[in-house]
Amino acid sequence: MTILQVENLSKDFGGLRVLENITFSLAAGSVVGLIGPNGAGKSTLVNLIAGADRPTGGEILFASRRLAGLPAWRVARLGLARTFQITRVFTDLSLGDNIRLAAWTRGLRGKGLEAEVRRLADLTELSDKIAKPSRDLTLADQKRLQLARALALKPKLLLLDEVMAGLNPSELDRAIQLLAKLRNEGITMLVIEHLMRVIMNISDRVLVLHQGSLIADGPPAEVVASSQVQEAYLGRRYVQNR
Amino acid sequence: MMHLWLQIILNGLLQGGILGISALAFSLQWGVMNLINLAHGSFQILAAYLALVLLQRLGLDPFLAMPLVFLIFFAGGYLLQFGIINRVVSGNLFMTLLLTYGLDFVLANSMILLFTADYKSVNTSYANSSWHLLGLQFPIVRTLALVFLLILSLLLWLFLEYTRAGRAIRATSMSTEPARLMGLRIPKVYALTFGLSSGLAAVGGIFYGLSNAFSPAAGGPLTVGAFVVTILGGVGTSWGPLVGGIILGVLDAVGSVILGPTYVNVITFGLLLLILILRPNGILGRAAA
Repeated sequence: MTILQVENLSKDFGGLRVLENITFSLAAGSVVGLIGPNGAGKSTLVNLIAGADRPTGGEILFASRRLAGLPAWRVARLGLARTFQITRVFTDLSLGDNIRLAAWTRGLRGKGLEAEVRRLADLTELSDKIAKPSRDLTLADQKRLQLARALALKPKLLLLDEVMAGLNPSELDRAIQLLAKLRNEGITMLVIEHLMRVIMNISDRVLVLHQGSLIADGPPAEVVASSQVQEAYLGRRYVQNR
Repeated sequence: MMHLWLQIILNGLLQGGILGISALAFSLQWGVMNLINLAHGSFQILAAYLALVLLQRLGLDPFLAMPLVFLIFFAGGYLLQFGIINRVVSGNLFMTLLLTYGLDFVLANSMILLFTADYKSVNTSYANSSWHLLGLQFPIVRTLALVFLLILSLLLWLFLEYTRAGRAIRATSMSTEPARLMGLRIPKVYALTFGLSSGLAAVGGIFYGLSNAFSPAAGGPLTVGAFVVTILGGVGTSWGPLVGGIILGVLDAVGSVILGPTYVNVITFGLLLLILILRPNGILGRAAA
């Protein structure tokens, strides 16, 4: 079953076209990697899907529903959540309140709300810091909090924008394990990532963006073997060094 | 002599209550929505007129009328923000300045039409009375204003810290994009904020009307006073208006005795400049992360 269908999506900023006729779909429960050089249009694509920005042309269908024109809050309540490349937690709120607020917008109240906050804090290994102000969290913990907050919306589709960036090797291993857990829970994920180790580890499929166009779409092994992808992003040494 | 100075400082302290309630509303709008409401003072004067009408027509004491006036202003503010200000609030700051400046004109001139430009005051039996304690005079209205400021600051703090709507307001004030992407309806949060601050402005307006003569043109100085107190205390803080109001009230009272009342504005704006240079986020404000 297809959960997300993107058809001929384009985006212009003034006279600059940053996305050109992007077409792809995501099957429910799949994990799809989105890679490409800086400036390829990855974050813009995620912004368009999440409703943070409006496309210049094309269609986005989420669970068979057109997203064009819907405000971001409504898109979120349909079950589409995202994290940010640069962490955007509410620094003056406690970790627990960050999660609580998101779960509240989903309609949870009372004991159900508190149970969900605890469950998500446990899942993201943050339960010992639940009362801590978010501004005092490490980068790795803020990234996990962003994930917990996105999960509090009970998403059908999770858009993860460089959720691993800036993590050290041990934090990275824990983050990969966490994504594997989410994958086992059947959450569909579109993962933007520069770390190929992560992409190869968790993705069923990989999309490659280059200069606003989709230049590859297929299984990870097939995509990294593509000379066009190596030319545009990975470099020829990537395959030799694997 | 010592006794005289104590009385002067007390007068300033109590004046801080009226300044602080006014700034509580102004600071909330500014801190959450980055909205500098130039019509703020006219809202307060309108509330003073409403209290006067309720007193004269229905015999309703201003303190008994306060919850009703608060609710009327809450509803009016909510609708005004939802229907009009929300259309420009996320744009350039200049647009909201222009809009609220226009709104100030409409309000001030409507009040002239309705109530004339003559000075009025909300005259009650206690408006000019004082309590006496330790040889000092405590003007009833100003003393109650300071008590109300303490209570309202505490209630606002509790609301923002411990209620879901309060947390939504704080989250929105920190960053709107992640807030809306996690399902918060920003226009509703903004309308709630403006409604709440309009209600608070109305309470401040009633206190102002009880302790001062007012006319439709009195809104401007009230807006300027709220602006200075907000900067002093720290934009968007629950306790900043209390701290800023008291400091400005005391300095104005002491300064006007030492330098003469002509120089009150010099003290006010000199203090503003000093704070902007030494502590631009205000006494209780925190630098943006």
